Amino acid sequence: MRMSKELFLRLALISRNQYPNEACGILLGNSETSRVDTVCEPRNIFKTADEFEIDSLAYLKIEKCAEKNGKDVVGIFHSHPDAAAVPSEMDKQYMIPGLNYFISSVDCTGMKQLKAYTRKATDGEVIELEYKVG
Amino acid sequence: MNVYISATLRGFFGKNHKFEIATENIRGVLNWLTDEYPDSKKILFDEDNHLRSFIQIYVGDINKTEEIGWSDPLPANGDVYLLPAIAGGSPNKSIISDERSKAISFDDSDIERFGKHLMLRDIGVKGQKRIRAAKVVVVGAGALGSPVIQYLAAAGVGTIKVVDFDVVALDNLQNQVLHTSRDLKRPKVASARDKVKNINKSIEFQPENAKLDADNAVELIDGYDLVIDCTDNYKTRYLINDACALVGIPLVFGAIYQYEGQVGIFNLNGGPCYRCVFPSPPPAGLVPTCSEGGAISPLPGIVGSIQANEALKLIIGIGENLSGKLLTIDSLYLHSRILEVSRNHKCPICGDTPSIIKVEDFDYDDFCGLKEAEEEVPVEGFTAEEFAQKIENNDPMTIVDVREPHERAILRFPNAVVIPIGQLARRKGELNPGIDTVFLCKEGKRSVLAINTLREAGYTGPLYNLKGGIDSLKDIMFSHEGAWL
Repeated sequence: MRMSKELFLRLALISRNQYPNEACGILLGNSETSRVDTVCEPRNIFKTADEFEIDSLAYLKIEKCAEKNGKDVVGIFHSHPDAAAVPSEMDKQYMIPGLNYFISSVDCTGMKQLKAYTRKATDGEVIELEYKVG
Repeated sequence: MNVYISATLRGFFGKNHKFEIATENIRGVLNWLTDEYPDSKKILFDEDNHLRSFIQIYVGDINKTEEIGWSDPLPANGDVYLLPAIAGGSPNKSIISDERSKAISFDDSDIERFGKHLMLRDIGVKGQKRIRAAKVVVVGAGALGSPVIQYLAAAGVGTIKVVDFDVVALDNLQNQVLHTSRDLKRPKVASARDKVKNINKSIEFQPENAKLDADNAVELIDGYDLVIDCTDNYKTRYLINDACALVGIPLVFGAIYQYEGQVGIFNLNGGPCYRCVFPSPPPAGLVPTCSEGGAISPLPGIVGSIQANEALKLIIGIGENLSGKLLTIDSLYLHSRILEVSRNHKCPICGDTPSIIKVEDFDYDDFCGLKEAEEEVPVEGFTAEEFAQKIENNDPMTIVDVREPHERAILRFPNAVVIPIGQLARRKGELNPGIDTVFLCKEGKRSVLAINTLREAGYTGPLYNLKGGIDSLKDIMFSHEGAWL
């Protein structure tokens, strides 16, 4: 998987801007080439330091708009303020098999880490994914 | 009926984004989908046949995810949407595991009782379950223990153990709001139990009418989530810290003195311990304990309430806490500040190469460096009875009162010479080395300091300490004279 440099910097920025709350976003790109280059930032309807939720109908609008513009929903992004970039129990519970999940670790000085994960459709196991920036 | 499948879920339905299904309700839609695409069944449903958390079902803009509405007839022109639930959260920062809080359930009266917690978004049902699952040890049911125990009980902490060996005395009632006049002479843990049971009888209250010492410290706290130090002396503070550091239990520390208080959190996730911050206590007698130095009545209420609040935040896993920090409060001039404190890598108990591997009793004087000279002459003294007998016999002696003026206002000792410790060396000529000189203070600790000071100044006459101070004379000499204010 590849992530554009602009998107990487953008995720770092929104992670820090939302601190100490969780930032979240829908990642768009091309699922054929596994390239992700855009983030939509719908409102976190559960705005606290340790949870996020995106309204499903707001998501639907993003998905339809993306399709109209020839883009695919490639993944979901959210930040972990003051915590490691590893999926929590709650994260795992909401992971859709096959979709990519990017999690950043952030404090007031900025994003420390950005990691990618996916849940395998076969056995439900959550594994870390490699990605390249550029 | 048109059924729209989100892009995120199409992979399980042959990459189709829309189906036309002839059915009357949601259940029909789901049955049709799982019949056509059998592999999608384990994606949509868990082992107990419940829809997985990441699926949302909408009819138009109405959320129909809850199973209860799956049999409702669908409107003729309503589209059905199968969408992802996009949610998640940071890892649990609470000291209570998800497993334990999940095992808790609430009834209607709990919901009503804890309504004000439940309406706080950061606490909610999840936080309240953590509070109920928590097991907390409070050491000391006195001034600080009073607010701590009552607030933990009111907040709904499920298991509270209270360790205290003392009984309620009249002078406790000035600031130990857990106890009342009816509790005089009862064990403090007994009145604590009554109070907690009156607040919420479903709390598991574990009274330990015992003194925490090196032998029982670990046993008393092992298996609990949190220890709250509400004691009033340095020795027990070190014992509690050592036990917490060894067993790996976080400690909420609090202390009060006159108008000032301190609160801190130790042993939390690799943070500093009490020994890192205070490697050794002050010499015995130099700093009076709260019982000797006194404290303004509401001060323990302020400091203890902050301790209880810190404890709840650790249990719920919210906010910032005082780990690696020390909060100091001056209630007289209303100053407060937070000092940064850090872990000492050479700390004998939590450092890189610890030298303390079990909780050990220690000689307080030795520990704080007071016992430096081997050749130091031990201070001789009289017990209250011996002293009273000497007065009775009219034995020739000089009695020196080293207490502060405000202490003498509570009780004047008849025929005593008043010399503050600071003036002793200069005024030693006022004492007659030919007869005994007896020093007295409130508890018999500062008088030892006075005798040592005088010896260092070269005084050679016989010096004696009144053991236990004026307090020990209370029932022997003064009870019938009404000399106390």
